[in-house]
Amino acid sequence: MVPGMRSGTGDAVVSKHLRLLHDRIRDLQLILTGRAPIIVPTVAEEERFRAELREADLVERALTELVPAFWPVTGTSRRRVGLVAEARVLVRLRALAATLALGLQQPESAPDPDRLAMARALFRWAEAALLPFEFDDNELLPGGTLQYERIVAYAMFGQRWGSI
Amino acid sequence: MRPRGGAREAVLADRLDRVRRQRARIAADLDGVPSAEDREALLAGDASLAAVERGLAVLLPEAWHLTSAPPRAVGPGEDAAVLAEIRATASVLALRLQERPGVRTRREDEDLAAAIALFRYAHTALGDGFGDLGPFPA
Repeated sequence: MVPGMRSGTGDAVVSKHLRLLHDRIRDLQLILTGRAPIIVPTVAEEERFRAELREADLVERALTELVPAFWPVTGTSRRRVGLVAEARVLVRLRALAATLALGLQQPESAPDPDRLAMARALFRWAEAALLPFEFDDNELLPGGTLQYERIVAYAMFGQRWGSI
Repeated sequence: MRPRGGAREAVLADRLDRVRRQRARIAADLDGVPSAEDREALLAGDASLAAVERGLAVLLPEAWHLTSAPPRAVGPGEDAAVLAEIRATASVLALRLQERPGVRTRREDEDLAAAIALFRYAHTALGDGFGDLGPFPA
């Protein structure tokens, strides 16, 4: 359970973002294998799509392999959660990813480049997902109060994919 | 556990006092003409504590927008709760600086060193794996 959250909230948010990731991974695979209905990428675009696919794969693995070691997430929840709760979970996910990544970089930790790459990708993904909320520095921490008007911005403009 | 109002200020002031006293002890030991090997270890310890001090005195008050508050005692459970927050914040600050494209400025390098030192300090002080985040990765 995510500390300070209703049971299942963390699972609901992780599940939602896993669905977004799976959709994007499927789209990228279609584009890169020439099966997308409209998009025929240039060489430069293809390289960008491949990089995006590698990043999405890392995030997907972080959510299904790393996060469940800390929170009981199934990845299959269909429960809808409010934007405030979603933002709180994203803040905690970012803190978890950052703490994992920095811990794995310490000389006392056994080298694990795969887990480190997943943790760093999860951090980048959470940062990008939180961008529409425009947190101030006080919102770096889990449990901080979110301002309503900033949540509205997220509701209006939604998830950004291009920056991930 | 969520710390109550003023807990961050109280814990930071307490921890800063402890770090400064540790540095004063190291300075006194250095005045005692230690061996070359001891001197090197003392200087390394002092450099590490200096980065922690910068993190507690500059980095966190800026990140948390802390204002000066009247001193008060640290309440039961507050120390661990705020230390967990320090570790999480230091991690996010460090990762942001590491992930930022381009060459870091000298100030950013100092902030990164302070954030990493804070992470290690809070993690060691907590001694509880990941606190409310779960066990520390093997």
